[in-house]
Amino acid sequence: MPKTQIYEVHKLVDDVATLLAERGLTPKPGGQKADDQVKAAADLLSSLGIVPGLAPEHALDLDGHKSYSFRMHGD
Amino acid sequence: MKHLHAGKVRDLYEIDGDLLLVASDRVSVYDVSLPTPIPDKGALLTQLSVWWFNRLSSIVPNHLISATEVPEQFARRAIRCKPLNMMKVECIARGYLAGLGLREYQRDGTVSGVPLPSGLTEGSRLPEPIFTPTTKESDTGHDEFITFEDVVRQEGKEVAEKLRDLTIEIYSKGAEHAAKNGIIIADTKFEFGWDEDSVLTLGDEVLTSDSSRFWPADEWEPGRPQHAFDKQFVRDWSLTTGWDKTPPGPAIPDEIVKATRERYTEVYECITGERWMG
Repeated sequence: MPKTQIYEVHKLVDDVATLLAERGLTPKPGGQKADDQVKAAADLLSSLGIVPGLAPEHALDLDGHKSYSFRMHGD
Repeated sequence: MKHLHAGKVRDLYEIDGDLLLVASDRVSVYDVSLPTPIPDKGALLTQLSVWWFNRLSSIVPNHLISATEVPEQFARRAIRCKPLNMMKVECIARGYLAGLGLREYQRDGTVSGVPLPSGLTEGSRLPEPIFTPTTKESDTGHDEFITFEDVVRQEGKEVAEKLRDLTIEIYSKGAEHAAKNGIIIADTKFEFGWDEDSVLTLGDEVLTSDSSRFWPADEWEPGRPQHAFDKQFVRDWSLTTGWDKTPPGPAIPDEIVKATRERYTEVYECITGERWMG
């Protein structure tokens, strides 16, 4: 079975911002649009057949599983 | 040792290329960390998770490297683990009808879009466990339920099927063991990632009172709210105080602290069969 290809979505956002800056543009990674950028990066990777990944510090819910609590318990 | 992230309940460090996941005694409800710690909570959840990791390792590899090779100040409440490239999907398994799932079922006859037979009530056991994934990061700042087809689009069919099958298998095995020992696992959440060899790996913490809904089996009675063995107990108490669910949270009185600690301890002892040496 071929090895699964994975790429970290925040890294892709940074890579793209760097590339665009090299081409004379002034991208604004992060900020209020950070979620949109991550979602778009994940969509791009998926469409290219690459599994989008997240670094542990971006993925692990260290706030008491707040997302699970919100979705399951209404927190 | 490098501090990577401080959460309301846990902290993440990097240590010699590994990750150190440290659980505190803090408790967070309605996304607010309460000012009163629950003694031993961090150690109880960590040790329970370690016990599950070992028990479930025949089903799926996990990120645990060591629960003992940790800095002394974090002893028993930290694990050293492999850094994973984490999935953007949180994998929730449900075996019973409760919480927001109950509300959706009463309104639409579904839970996270999964159709269920009529006649179920609060606390009912589902005909079979269901996979209800959520995605991380959204415009609302909270996870949002997604369908299995969404997971296929995001992760690819093969990975999506593996996530679904592993989630149900781990939940089923865990729920079966817990039920034999007097605890119903109504629902739970798993997180997976890829290790450096691209092996799908179970991460985070597993089948704990913070990441699951636990009920005592001998008091289970569909048709009413269930007695909670998990964080729901603190949640329910907090609402009796008139608190508006915004910071700062209320201080927890001694009797509630004691009762909460007893619940966490009872869960640990029932599931592991080992006495908690607090």
